[in-house]
Amino acid sequence: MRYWLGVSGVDPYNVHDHFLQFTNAIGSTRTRTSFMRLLWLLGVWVIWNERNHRLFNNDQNSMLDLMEKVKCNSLWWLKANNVTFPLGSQRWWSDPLMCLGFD
Amino acid sequence: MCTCYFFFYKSVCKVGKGANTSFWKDRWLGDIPLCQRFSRLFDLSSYKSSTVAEMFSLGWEEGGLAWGCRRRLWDWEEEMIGECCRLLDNFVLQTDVHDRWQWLHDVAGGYTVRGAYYILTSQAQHIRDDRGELVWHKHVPLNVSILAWRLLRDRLLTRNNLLRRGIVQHTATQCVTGC
Repeated sequence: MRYWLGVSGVDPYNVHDHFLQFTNAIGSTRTRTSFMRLLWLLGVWVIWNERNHRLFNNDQNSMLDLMEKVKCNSLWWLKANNVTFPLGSQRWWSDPLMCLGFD
Repeated sequence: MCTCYFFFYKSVCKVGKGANTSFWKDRWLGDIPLCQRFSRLFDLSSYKSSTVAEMFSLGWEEGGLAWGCRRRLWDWEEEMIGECCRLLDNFVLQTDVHDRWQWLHDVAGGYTVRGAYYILTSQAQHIRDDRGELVWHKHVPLNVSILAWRLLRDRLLTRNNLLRRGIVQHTATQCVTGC
């Protein structure tokens, strides 16, 4: 997910710290942390569902599949709530921060 | 009655003349308010918001008017009144002393902002609760936020938590991939 966003960081062991660090990884303004909170929540959800999928359905998706889910869902959620994309969402898959006008 | 839970659970009423203390809702006799301890009697009482002094003057001995109820009582409800009366027997109103709050964390020194601040900040739980607020997000579906909320509180049904609640046995504690 960080690779997608073009940021780097180390994963704290503690999940609270992880949440805090991740949400502030691209800056601390409200719109930025809001977007990062959305991604973190989505990431957690995708991972949990995958965990259940592996455990109960004996099947597994690849990392790429999971990342794809994050990208799709985040775009859907934002679009569903009429968030504006100053530069359009065509390049969401390669540069989401640019689409949101963060850079 | 005090509506701030933090203050409520860390203080009790020391009743003097009983004019400023709610008979049912304040914590003045025993560890919990009488409306909780004798919730049945409280439900039936005609004097739900009376003070200790008012209840006393009505008469809180067995058969007293203070127990005025909205209907005739069953035997077991009469027994509850008896139990409550025995508690009250040991209590004496002091008509020359005002009611006051007693801060349980520092009975001698009394309530101070510094003391309360120390109690709040020395409990890591409260800091965590702040972070928990951040899981609610207007663009994120509620079920996703609830999952994260449970994760941050370690309330998800992970194997560890199932084990702790005794739902699964130790033999089933390998990790997902069987390692």
